[in-house]
Amino acid sequence: MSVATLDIKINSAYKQSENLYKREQSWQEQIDSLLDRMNALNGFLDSYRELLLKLTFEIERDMDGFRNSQNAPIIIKKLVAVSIKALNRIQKSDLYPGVKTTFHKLRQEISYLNELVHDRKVSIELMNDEEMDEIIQTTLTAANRK
Amino acid sequence: MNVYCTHQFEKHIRKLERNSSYASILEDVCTFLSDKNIEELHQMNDVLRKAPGDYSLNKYRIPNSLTNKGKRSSYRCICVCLPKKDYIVLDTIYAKTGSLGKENLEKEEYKEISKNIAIAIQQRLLLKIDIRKKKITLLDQSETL
Repeated sequence: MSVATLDIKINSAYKQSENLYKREQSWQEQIDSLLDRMNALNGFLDSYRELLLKLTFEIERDMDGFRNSQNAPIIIKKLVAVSIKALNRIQKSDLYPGVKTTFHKLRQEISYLNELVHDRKVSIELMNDEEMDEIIQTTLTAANRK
Repeated sequence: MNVYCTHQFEKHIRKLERNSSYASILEDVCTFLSDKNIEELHQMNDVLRKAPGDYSLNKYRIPNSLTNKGKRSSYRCICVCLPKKDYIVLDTIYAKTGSLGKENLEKEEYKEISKNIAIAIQQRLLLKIDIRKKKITLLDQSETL
């Protein structure tokens, strides 16, 4: 599923949830509908987290490949942006109390993915830093001193 | 393998362990390092490995045994690995989440850490971490690195 499709799906799910909420329903129907929507969202968040777990596993397995890849960080950045947008909406919705635990686990995974992208950027910057060469040389000279 | 740390690292440890959520931080660091050798540490989560086999700047994710959150939201420990000398020097440790949680480090901060470690090695301003006893001790001046 592309990032754009995911974005559209999140938007339509949000609108659908709003409509369902506004529809005239009895108290019992409203509770049932709320619980159904909470369960559905919980399932979605959980499977999305599983997907991100697999993604981070693959990245960690081949950090050098990730560092050298041109497209991977761009795609992941987009994925993180869409995910954060979705999480913000969920946090404001009436479903949030029912999905809190899964929500926080997913947020942790997204923040970790973000950290991996950030570390890649810093790593490349340090690789091309001349001052860093001097620091390494100073360290090695000092370490080899008797 | 010997494990050394800078005075800054000790300060970070002392500050964090005052908070009950991070009270076992030194124990967690020692547990993490106890079953690893220098080669493993050299290749693990390296931020910079410009001189492979000689020098690497690493960032380890060390789980906090007091929380059940795994390594994703655990401590981040920055150190320099010198495989040929068979030792590592730890300089910075911070919590990723919680009341003392910190954001990701930037390039300049990593450079500061590397500089700090270089000076500490140059001037022998290091402390030794006893992995078995889980203690930080002063480095004996007669001891060669």
